[in-house]
Amino acid sequence: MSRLGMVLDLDRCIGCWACAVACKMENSVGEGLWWQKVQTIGGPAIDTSAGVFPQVHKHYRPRNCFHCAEPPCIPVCPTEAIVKRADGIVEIVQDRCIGCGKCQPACPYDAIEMNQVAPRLPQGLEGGHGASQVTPRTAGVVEKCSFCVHRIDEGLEPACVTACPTQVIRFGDLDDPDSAVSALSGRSDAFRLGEETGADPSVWYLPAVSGGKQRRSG
Amino acid sequence: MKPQSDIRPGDAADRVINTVCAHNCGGRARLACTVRNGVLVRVAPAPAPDAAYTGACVRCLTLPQWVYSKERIAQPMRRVGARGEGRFEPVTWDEAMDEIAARFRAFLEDHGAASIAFTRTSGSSQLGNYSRLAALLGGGGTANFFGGVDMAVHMGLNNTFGFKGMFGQHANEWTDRPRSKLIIVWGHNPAETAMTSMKFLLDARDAGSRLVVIDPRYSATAMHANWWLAPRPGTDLALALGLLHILIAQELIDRDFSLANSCAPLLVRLDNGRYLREADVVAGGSDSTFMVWDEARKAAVTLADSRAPAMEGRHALAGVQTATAFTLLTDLVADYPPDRVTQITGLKAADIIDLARAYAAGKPALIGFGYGVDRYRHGELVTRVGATMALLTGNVGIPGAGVGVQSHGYGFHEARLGPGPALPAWAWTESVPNIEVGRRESPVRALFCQGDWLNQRMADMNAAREYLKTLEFVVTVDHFWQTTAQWSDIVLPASTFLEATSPVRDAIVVGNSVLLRQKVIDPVAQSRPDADIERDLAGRLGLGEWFADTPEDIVRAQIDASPDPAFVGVTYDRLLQAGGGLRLDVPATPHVQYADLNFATKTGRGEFYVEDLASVGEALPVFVEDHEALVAHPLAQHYPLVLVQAHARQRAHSTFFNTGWTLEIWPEPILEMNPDDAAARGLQTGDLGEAYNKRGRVAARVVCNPDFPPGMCNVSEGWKQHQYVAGNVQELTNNEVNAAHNLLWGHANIPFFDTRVEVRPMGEVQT
Repeated sequence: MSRLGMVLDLDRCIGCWACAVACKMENSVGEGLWWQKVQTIGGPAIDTSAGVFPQVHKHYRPRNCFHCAEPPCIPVCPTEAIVKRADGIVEIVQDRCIGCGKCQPACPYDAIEMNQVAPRLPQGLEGGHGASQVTPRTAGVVEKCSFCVHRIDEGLEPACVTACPTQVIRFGDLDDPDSAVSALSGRSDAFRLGEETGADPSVWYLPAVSGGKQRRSG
Repeated sequence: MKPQSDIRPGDAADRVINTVCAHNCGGRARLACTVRNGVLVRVAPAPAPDAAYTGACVRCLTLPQWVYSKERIAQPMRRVGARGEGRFEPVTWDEAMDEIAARFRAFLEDHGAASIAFTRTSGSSQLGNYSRLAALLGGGGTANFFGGVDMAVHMGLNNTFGFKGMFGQHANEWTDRPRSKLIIVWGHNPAETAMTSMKFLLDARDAGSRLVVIDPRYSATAMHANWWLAPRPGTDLALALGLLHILIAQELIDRDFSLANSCAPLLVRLDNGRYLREADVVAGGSDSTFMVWDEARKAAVTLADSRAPAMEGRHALAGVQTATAFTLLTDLVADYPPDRVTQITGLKAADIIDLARAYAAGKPALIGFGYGVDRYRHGELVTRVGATMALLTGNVGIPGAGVGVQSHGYGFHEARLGPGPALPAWAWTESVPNIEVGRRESPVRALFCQGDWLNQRMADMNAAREYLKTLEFVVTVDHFWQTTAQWSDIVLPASTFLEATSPVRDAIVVGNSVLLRQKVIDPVAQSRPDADIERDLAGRLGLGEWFADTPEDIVRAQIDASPDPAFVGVTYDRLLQAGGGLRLDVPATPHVQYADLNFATKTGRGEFYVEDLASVGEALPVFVEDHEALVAHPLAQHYPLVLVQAHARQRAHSTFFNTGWTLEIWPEPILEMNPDDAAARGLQTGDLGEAYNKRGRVAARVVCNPDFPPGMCNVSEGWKQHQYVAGNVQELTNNEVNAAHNLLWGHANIPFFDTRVEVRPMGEVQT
């Protein structure tokens, strides 16, 4: 068996959103929708810290679909439009989606986006952009991160991995004991979001530790 | 053209063409551009010939939106309403170019070449465009509005180590960072401005280097540091002098290195501030031979003759009082003990002492400056003190050490293209510093402007706009409708660097490699590449003979005729075959600046004492509390907040102001303030606030952010007029001239961050 997954080293994330924009471009994701987002873990507004100057703290955390081993989105779909591949990728089959939206609240990680209207693509790029294999969606279907399945099938890494300028994201087979993701996810400080959900996500994080250990003089 | 990269999937119709980003973050990312049915549909990092430099940033990724933006100027336009009213009519290229040529001819005949000025920005194609036309027009002597941005930090280092160009970096190559034991990142925020370089700092930190960040705010770079120090904005010079005080007072310096490689032992005349020459003390002596005091012979001797030059001392020689440069420096820094520096910077004395000791113990240690310290009145003096710290501790010329502006991927092994086409001797331009434009008598009546000069190159925007109104004829060539275009008489649409009419636009040397900037798509709408516009206009002005070469001819000659040994085996044809990128024949190890310890200064040494600045009292980098950002400035009573313009991830200066994907993330200008400052003014996150001073105002949504200290606020640089609620951050900015800058370089750097404001809720004022 194989189980494709990611390990993100948050100690190297600079919050630039290159991963998210590369994803959006690659997969023709329309205005207002994101398959990947970069959360600010700090203050209430993007890029702000919590705390009182200079004892402030923030870090960044990219979020995409976690391609769970036990995806809560699959059993709630009435049309079997969400399927899990043998390599662990959780895919939405657009033709089967009726836009009922039941998968959205079922996902503990807020990873599924709904096309309330037809995707709005940028001027001059209305026919789609990025990979030609990824068909732009229509109104009334859901969409989410596919781990860039079209790229994986060609032996490439997901677009976000390639785009990250600080090499935060490692991608590979978690079931392969010789893989980098296997070693990194086995680190004692590696963690996943929402362990209690039982979804068994395939995306791991390494914590942002530098800020917490940092000396401050201000 | 054949597909040049196989790293992207796509259908059979996709072509992937590699090119090089042209924008002024300086990163020069190599980009793999996917073109489908003539449309640019994807941009991704392309493999760089030196794999360490493969990478792109979020800005590059938005290039497809930038190219097809709704703000693109589709065709030539002519003003029909009052200037600045924004009413234009479409005209043909022939009509527009004929009108420009006719007007320029009339200015030349009636008022001479000096009546026409050219200016350019980095937001629109290459900076070099139109410089040939400018120099040739009217037999030479047109005005060139230039300079004043991002220059002080470089010039300070040029003063110390010898001139290495207007943007001389002086630092070791980025790939050298893991060899540093200590890295001080000072006023630099690559995590938000030079994202493709940030990995080198993270790699070094993760390999055990100690990463220190000095920045008044908790930037995305500071959050990754081992130690973050936050002096008050604009006090970097005092902090640097305080560090030097500790290094000298606690004898933490490398005396042997300083004696051998710096100006430390050179004698300085106290009557005129000049270095003592042999000719001053020996009849018939040389005027370019410098004197030291020899301990063994108890006499002043030439540097070459001295076996035991004294580092300290004062001596009366031939009736002139002298002292060594190091003694004068020691005197200066005696005035910056930790308790005084604490008062100025707000940092604790113990932290200042610790940092100095950490630097001395951290060899090899790097000091990498950024433009955060550049935009105050004395940015060049800050880098001079940093350079002095490096010289006195022997942190120059060795792996892991150095001092420089590390703004982006520079510091490489040097390799140069061959020259471009020559100009005749009679072709020249008269340099006019941007900061002086409109402030002194000028014969200029017409302006040819590339890019959004008004929004990006000028502080005190209301004054600059008044200047534009006085001109009789303004032409702007740009990709997008922006402020300067709105104030123009003729507007010409320029193609972006991705669009071309020939297979190759230009070549650059970056990252120990030579890269071709290749055509990716045809020109959008009626736009034309700048080189085509320049050639066309030159032809209509009778100057066509000087523009016979196509861009491809020029690039071929620059590569095939490069005299640089690094170009051995590199030809234009081989470069094309290789897909537009080849490694040059330079060492594979990271470049170390000044490994030979030869400096192109008058004395051949690293000069912390700059005699040419004695007349303005800056032979040594003295701290004078004369600028607006400081708490001691009189304006602080009325305008208690320092306003900076941090550079944002989504733009390189203003380039990419209009890309939808990043605008979804960061949609509008925001006024970031410390929560206590906001609360004291009755403001909360989301409220509209107005920052104002005597020069102007800007209105924006307030965001309370404790990353900023009390007394400091921020509106990021590069937003455009239509994106503001009211006003413009550039209305507020300071354009005070520093006479020392003019003396030394002929132009002053604009102190954008020496700007004080008060903030009030927007409800109190008219919009």
